[in-house]
Amino acid sequence: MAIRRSKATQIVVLVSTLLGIGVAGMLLVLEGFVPWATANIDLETPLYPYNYTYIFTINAFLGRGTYLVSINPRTQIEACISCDEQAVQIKALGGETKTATLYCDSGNLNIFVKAYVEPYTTSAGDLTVVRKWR
Amino acid sequence: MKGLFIRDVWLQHSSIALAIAIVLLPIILAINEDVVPNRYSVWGMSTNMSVGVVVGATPTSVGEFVCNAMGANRLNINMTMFLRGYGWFLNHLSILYFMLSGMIVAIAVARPLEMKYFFIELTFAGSRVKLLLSRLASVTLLLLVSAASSALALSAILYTAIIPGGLYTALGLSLLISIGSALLSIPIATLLSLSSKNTTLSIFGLLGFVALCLVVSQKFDVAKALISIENIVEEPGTIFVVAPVQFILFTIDVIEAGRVGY
Repeated sequence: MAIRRSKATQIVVLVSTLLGIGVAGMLLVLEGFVPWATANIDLETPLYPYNYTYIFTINAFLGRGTYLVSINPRTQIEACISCDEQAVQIKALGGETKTATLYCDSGNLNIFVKAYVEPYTTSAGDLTVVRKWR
Repeated sequence: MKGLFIRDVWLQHSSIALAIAIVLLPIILAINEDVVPNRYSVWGMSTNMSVGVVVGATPTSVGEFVCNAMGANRLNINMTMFLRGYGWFLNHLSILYFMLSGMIVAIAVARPLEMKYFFIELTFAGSRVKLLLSRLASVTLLLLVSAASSALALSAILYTAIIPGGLYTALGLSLLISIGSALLSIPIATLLSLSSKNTTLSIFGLLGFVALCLVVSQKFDVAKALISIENIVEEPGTIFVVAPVQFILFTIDVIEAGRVGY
């Protein structure tokens, strides 16, 4: 059975619904809960029968905000994440996930990765870039 | 005025649907027109030598490297360049705000009185002009609330799209666009509604007014100042936003008319 509300209550419910949708949309975009705020990057390498070093340059442009870069390497990896006037360096061994946080005002994030690749593998790991608000 | 006068306008199903459409409009249009930056590129190179060619990492003598902040050039964007880049999105947004707000006004205004009896009613003591003014006031309140909540989502989109200045500048520009377009539609939609017989005709009149502005703006720049539309014909995406809203609106209007007995 439907509950009968007064007109004033219905108007209060309507106004708070409109404001709630607006605030929810704002947080949805700002906090990175939308698919375009995430970049899943697979670090693919060519198949060689010997140890070698492979370098990647990744340019991510996901908008203004705080970037969370998490690297899950297969082997030893060194990464340098830079934006505007700041840079963060990551060193990780195979199998461990490391995360760097960097506020990026201009939205133009550069990631430099140096990976030591084992023979007969076609991947150096994977990397996830997420943009958040703060 | 007895009781709560805004209940006539605010609690119609079509008004509620249109207000929610106004609030959801920036996000739907941003998804449709791909406004928020979401691009990345990966470039790889096999090497056994030092990494001296790569900007962003300086090699050392022991085979490692030291991070530096030269990898990403700082982008200096001023407001003129920002508006040159995203002006088309803001144009489409303002024209859609204008049309949706005008539909709410047309629904609210078309029913109480007609243009044919307007000047006769002005001379009578017990006229319905008071009703018209109260409805216009309540429509203005509803449009202010929905445009302000819509500006919240729009400011988040402009913030991530790197507007110069930050979130407060984005909020100011969003409020200017949404409330400005909504308030601009009130007098035009009122005049169109007073001179038409029913809601559907006045909404078609609104669309015709927009099309007229489009045609005139091909020749003169004055119409662009009234409603800034430039590429609505070349961008079919906006039609796909407008058409479902129109369909839902007409459906609700028919249901309401059948139930209440207009």
